[in-house]
Amino acid sequence: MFNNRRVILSMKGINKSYPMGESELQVLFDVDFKVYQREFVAVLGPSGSGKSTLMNIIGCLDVASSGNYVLNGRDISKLKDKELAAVRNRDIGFVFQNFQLLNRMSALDNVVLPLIYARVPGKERKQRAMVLLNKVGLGDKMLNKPKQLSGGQQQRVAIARAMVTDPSIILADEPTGALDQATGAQIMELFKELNREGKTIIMITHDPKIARQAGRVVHILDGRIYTQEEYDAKYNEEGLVREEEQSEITARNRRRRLMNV
Amino acid sequence: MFKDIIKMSFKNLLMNKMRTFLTTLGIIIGITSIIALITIGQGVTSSVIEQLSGLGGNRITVEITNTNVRKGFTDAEMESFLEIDGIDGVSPTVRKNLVYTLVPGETKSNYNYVYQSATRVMGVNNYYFELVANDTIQAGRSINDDDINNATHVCVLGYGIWKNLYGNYNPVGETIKILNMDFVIVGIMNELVGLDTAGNYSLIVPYTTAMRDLQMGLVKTFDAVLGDSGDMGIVVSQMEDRCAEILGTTSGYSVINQQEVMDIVVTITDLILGMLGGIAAIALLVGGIGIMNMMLVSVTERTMEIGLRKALGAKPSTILVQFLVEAVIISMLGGVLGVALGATIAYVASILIGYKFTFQATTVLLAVGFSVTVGLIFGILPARKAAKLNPIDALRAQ
Repeated sequence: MFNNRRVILSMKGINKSYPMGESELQVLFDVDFKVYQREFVAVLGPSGSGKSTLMNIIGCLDVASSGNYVLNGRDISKLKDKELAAVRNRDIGFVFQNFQLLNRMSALDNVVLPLIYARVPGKERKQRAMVLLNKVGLGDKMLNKPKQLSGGQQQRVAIARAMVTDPSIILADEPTGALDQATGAQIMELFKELNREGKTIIMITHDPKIARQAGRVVHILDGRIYTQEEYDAKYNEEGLVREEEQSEITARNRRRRLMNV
Repeated sequence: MFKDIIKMSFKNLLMNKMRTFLTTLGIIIGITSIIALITIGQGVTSSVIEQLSGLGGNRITVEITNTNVRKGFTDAEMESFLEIDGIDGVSPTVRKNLVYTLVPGETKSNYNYVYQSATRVMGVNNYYFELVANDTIQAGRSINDDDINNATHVCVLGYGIWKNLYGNYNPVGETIKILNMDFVIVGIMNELVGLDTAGNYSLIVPYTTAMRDLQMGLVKTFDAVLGDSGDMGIVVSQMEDRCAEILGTTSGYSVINQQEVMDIVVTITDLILGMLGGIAAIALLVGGIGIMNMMLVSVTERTMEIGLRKALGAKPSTILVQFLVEAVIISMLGGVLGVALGATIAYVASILIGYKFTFQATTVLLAVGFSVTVGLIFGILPARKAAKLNPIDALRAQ
């Protein structure tokens, strides 16, 4: 359905393992993942599924042990620390569960921060930040410190900050996790609106209700990635292997045992 | 971007004013002591040298150290040193407290009756005026060679005694009695400042007159002045020979090259300054460790912030520079305050001790340079720690 659109993110055969003493702990297995421009994708998985690791790799905060990762037409797999910093700055806008705003700075200065690292001149920085704060509905609270804002308002500041460098993707990690239902819903509305305006959004969550609001849901379980169809075929709503499959296995075993006898 | 980093650093430091100030204190103390010591040391040394070298480093002092051998030289014996090649002149001083009398009619002093008192009388020649007064005089003339050769009865008033006896009146040409002998006042000295101020309250007469007519005794110590052609080493050894010849012994006297004395003074002051400088350097070291300590605490406190900044695109080098700039700002602040405080202390000391206060731009540059270096050295470890933080771990820190 998105074949006529440009691929903005493409992962092929991504593996990630961490050294654990003598042995290694593999967290991601042969992950293939594609995101098209203007998509709103939710990566849904329970804790321990490897979704945080996947997010870190997508966000260029971490690199894969093996595999291929192309973001916005650029192979990221072999970049150095400082080049990764530049990619994070230009191509990725982070939205975190706990907002991650600097408390001693005003909302405006928080939004300006990525532009400092992008070496945008001072005047333009302020203008761009103000435009975005207005867009997220905080035009009258620009000079407030984060502590003077509600949780929802803080997350709006964080979203403005994520948008300010006009990145290729917005990467949101449990963006409603620290918010109540109503506020969370508002934030989701904001994401949907941004998506309608053309932003590519990748959202990591453990909450199926939140994930369902995205245009496409990708499941991650035990370090492997499944499309909705693959997942539905294999697992039930609780994330357990379906009974039909279970019974099929038992039937097969019974047949095998009979043949052996 | 560097401007933004500096702005951010200032904001961070202002967040913890008390902590920043206390950290700065170490550097302030270090730099203050360095500046105060250097400035006081330079002032004192240059004052001492200036006074020691009134006639330059070309003076050789002869002194009878054991008065059992001989009480001193006669004027003829002393003048025999002039025969040595390379010696331009001799400058003796004989001193004794003597009674003097002012008689109304002979001189117009503050007293309208016959006034009698005692004061120090100094027997000298023209070299004395060169040495202590830089050959200047307030009024009249100083003692000249004619006075020495003819043992004339003339006298020059020291500044202090002139003020006491005459106020502002100029008595040049009038007569004063020393031991009931008439002396014509020929001059008034300027006020002496520095090491040798004995002349201020003295009546100064030709040394020949002092020795022959005023019976002020023998010359215990005198300076020989070396001419341009004289070789210091040869002249000194010839003078030692002459001393041995006159006194008939090889001990009980000394012949000292003034340059050596000056060198010793310089060596000693350098040594003392070096030791004090070492202590100041330790203070600076402690201050630097204080900065490092505070910056390490700051890095730990701000782990999450560092993680976030990295996520938003700060390069490791940017983080490094930010923390380094903070350390340097603290140390530079300490340096500037230390320079101000140290200079103030040195200035007050110059008034109290009475040396010339000089302040050199190089000292300031040195001190500020020093403090910046301390900031860089002790800031690099915390800054590197910050720059190396893994953004994932840092973001997770609480």
